[in-house]
Parts: sequence; C-alpha cells; structure tokens
Amino acid sequence: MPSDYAYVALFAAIGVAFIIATLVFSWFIRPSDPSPEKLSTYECAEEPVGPAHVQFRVGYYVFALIFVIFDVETVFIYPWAVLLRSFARNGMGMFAFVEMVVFLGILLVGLGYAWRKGVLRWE
Amino acid sequence: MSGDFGSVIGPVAPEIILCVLGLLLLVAGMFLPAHRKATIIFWTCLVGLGTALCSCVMVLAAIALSPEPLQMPNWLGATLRVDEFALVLKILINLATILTILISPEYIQHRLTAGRSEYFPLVVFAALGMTLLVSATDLITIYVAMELTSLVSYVLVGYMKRDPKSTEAGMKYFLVGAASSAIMLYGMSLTYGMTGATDLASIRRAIAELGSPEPMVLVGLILMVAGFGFKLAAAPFHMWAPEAYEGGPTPIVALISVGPKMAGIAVLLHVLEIGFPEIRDHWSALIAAIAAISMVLGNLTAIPQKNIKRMLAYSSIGQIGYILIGVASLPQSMNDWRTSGIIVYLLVYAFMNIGAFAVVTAVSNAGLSDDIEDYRGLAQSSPLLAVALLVFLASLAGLPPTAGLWGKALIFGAAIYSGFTWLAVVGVACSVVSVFYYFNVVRVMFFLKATTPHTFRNTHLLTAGIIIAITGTLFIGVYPEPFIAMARVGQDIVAAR
Repeated sequence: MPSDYAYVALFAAIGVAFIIATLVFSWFIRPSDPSPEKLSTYECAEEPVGPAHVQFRVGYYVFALIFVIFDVETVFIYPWAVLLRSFARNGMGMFAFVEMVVFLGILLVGLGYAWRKGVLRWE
Repeated sequence: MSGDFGSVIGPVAPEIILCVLGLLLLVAGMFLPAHRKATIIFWTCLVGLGTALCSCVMVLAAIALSPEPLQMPNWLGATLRVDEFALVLKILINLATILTILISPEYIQHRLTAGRSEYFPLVVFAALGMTLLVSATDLITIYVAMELTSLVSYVLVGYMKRDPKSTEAGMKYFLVGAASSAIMLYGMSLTYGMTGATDLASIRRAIAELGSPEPMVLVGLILMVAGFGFKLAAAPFHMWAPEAYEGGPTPIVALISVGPKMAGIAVLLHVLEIGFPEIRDHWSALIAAIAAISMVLGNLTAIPQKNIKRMLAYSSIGQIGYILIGVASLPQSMNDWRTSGIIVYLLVYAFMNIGAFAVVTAVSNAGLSDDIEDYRGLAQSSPLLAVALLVFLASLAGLPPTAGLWGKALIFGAAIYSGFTWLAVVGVACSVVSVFYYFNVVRVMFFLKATTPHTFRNTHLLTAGIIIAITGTLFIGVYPEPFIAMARVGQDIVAAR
C-alpha cells in the first residue's frame, strides 16, 4: 500500500517542480520591455474601465441560481430518458415516470415561486 | 409493480407529508390575500406538522406490532433505515418543530419586516432534512439531508435582514458550516476510497475484510466525526454556536439548538454502529474526548456570560457533551439498557431547551433585551414566565423533580457501567458548576427588583407552547418509566442485515 502513495507524492513533486522550472526558465530568456499598454489589464481587447472591485447587481446571482437549477435538471433528465425504455421492459416504467414527474413538479414550484416574486423581471 | 407503491410510500410517509406541506405553504404564501395569509399559513403548518407526527406514530406502531421485519425495496432500504430508533427520533423532531411554530408568530410579527410567509415553509424544510437525517444510512443521503438542514438553518439564523447581529450570525454560521461540510465530505471520500462503498453496511463488511484497522480508515472516520461535531456544536467544533444563538431569531434558535442535535446524534450512532463497529475502541475514545472537552468548556464558559442566549448557547455545548458520554459508552450489543439513556436525554432536552428559549422569546416580545440584567424582577411582573424558566433551568442543571435528572442519571450510569468512570466524574462535576450559572438567572429573576415595570401580554399560542414544555419536563421528571420503556424499543439499532 505505501508504494501507491509514493506515486502520488512523486506526481505532486514533479508537478510543483515543472511549474517552478518553467517560470524560472522563461524569466531568464524573455525580453523585458514594459510599456503602459502592456501593463494594463486585459479586458477582451477593450479599454479597461475602472477597478474590478465594484458591487454587482444581486440580480445576476438569482439568474445564475435559476440557470443552475435547470442545468442540473437536464443532467438528471438525460440519463433518465435514455434508461426509461429498459425500466419499462422490467415493469418499472410507470414508477420511473412518476418519480421524474415528482422531481419536475418540485422544480416547477420553485420556478413558479421565483416568477411570482418578480425575479425574472429585469429593469 | 403497483403493489410496491404502498411499501415504498408507507415507511417514508412522514417525509412525504413534510415535503408536500413545505411546497404547499410556499405556494400558499404567493397567492393568498395579504391580510389573511399569516393566519392561514400558521394553522396549515400546525395541522400539517401534526399529521406528520401522527404518521410517524402510525409507522412506529405498524413496525412494532408486525411480527416480520419491514420490507422495503432494495434501492430504498440501502439508503434509508426506518426502524424504531429512527421513528422515535422523528416523533421528537416533529414535536420540537411544533413547539417552535407555536412560539413563533408573535416574534416574527414584532421583528420581521419581510419574508414572513417564507418563514414557515423554511422551518418545515428544516424538519424534513432532520427527519431524513435520522433514517439515512448511506453517506450520500447523509450528506444531502445534512445540507438540506444546514442551508435552511443558515437562512433562518440570518433572517432578520435589517438586524446587523442576525446577518452577521447567519454569515458566520454559513462560513463555518460550509467549511465543516467540506471536511466531512473529505472524510467520506477517504472512507469510500478505502472501502469502495457508500452504504454503511457494505462499509462495515469492507472494514472487516481489511482486518487490522487501516490508518486511512481512521482518518476518514475522524474527519467525518469532526463534520458531525460541527453540526452538533460539540467542542472543539463549537465556535459558531454562541454567535448564531445570540444573533438569530429566538424561536429559530430554539429549533436549531434541539433538532439538528437529535439528527446529528442519530447520524453519529448510525455511522459508528452500522459502519464502524469493528474499530469500536478507537471511536469510543475519540467520542469520550469530545464529550469531556464539550462539558468542561461549555459549562465553564457559560459562567461569565451576560446575555442569556449566549449563556444558553454555551450550556447547550455542555449538554451535547453529556449526550456524547452516552454515545461513547455504548455497549457491544445494542440490546442493553445503556442505549435508552441517549433517547431519554434527547427527549428531555427537547422540552427543557425549547421551553427555556420560549421564555426568552416571551421576554423579548415584551420589549426587553436578552441581557440577564433585564430579567430583574421577572417573578413580580410575570410569575408564569419566571416559574417556567425556573423549571427549565433546574431541569437543564439536572435537579429533581425535573426530567433532566433522569437523563443525566441514565447517561452517567451507563458511563460507569461501561468503564468510563472518569467521564461520569467529569459530568457530575460539570453539572455542579452548571447549577451556579443557571441559578444566577433564577436569583436575578426572584430576588432583584425590576428597575422599570413591564407588562407581559403573551398570546395563547406562546403560553400553550410554554405550558406543553413545562408539562413535559415535570411529567417525565415525576413519572419517567413509560418514557424509558419507549426509549427501549429504539435499542435495536444494529439488526442483522
């Protein structure tokens, strides 16, 4: 058993050494010629506007949360849809179907709640 | 397969009822007219929780009366274990939630500016998480149920959005809780890595096959126990408790000081007794150490506290220490009187701790602060509240004729019987210390004059909650036999699989 962990330690050591070696090597061979344009923050080739430490609209987070809910829903529905036929062959089709309807129903209540609370409105 | 629906739904009926109730209340909060909303949601919640409680009793009766063991389909039976032990705890959790709901309405009317209609569904979802947790026997189910309970608790502790103390408490609770979840998950992943299984019965078999205890198995178990320790607020994992208790809404503090502890103890027992009985000597010493640290640290730090909610927070850290003595001194075979001490203590603890927080709620509803100084002369201005708090504090200290005495007697007895005499000695010493700070409050209430007189006009619901808690505390104290007998049906938590 200990030899298995030795591999892990070896990989970790090589990984750390590789990063240090590349950084040191490029530090030696690269030319150093700084200019204001090179030193400015890269913002998709746009002129940078203001500092990065600003407050974001809390609405973004709620949108992101709702997006994640439906993302996860897809992750669950996809394998379910693939396997439903084999469930049906084993006589469990109705059961699997009801399970998914319950799951979707709970999510639907959540979406309805968010909708009613005006989360989906953006002004 | 339609016949299987009954055998699936029956044992998990309490969970299904709670889930439907929570969603129903959420929808009701959206569509009901504003002026009648509060009343309808409150009573629906109460009736729903009552139904869930009744369904727990019915499942318990069905299991206790039927000659053959409960049949559940394989996929459900491996993740949830519906036995007498779990059901007794589910009854206690539903009872604790009902008491919380009873003491809530007036407080939220005074303190909450927004989100009043989401309060009750969130409490119901917390109860759902806890009831799932006491049945869970698969690491993944344990994690999901624990997160459901925790996430709802974080939100509820930080529920008073305009109160800086409440938001700070919620934030601290969330950060510490998230870190502890990560630690627990790491322990679970190590356990899975060593055993190749997530359900506790398979983990036990894999550990038995490994023979001598593998260090990595021990590390996994220690990390998991640390994660559970955070949820139980056992020292040295207790740092979040005083802040969360002081800042959170008092009825919620009543719930989170009791419910997650029951669920956490159940998970701890399931993991240790079903998953890791092969390394009993190791975890027994570990739990004994946590118990001793919790008792000493909780009870000593409670002495100088000026705020009653902080004092009760440290006292609850000490209380969880007493309960952990019971876990540490569990015998090899569960068919033994020593197991029932834990359940009796949890039952007693539910009544006395929620009762104490109910009195704190009543006092703060009258416009007083949570400082012990503000309890001056409570005996004159509201004799009912003062006497109630006296009963609850006496019970927390373990004095006769209250129920706390029996909880402590059974737990300390079990410790001595199992060879943990030193733990029992520490426990008794800490109980003596605790009398000092509990009765400091009694002294302030009964022997000091109030500076300004206050009038107490409590709703019938709050009074009902307090009276139920007093009745429980005194009745179990005077006539403990039926409850010890009830706890005994929960003994057999490790049956042959």
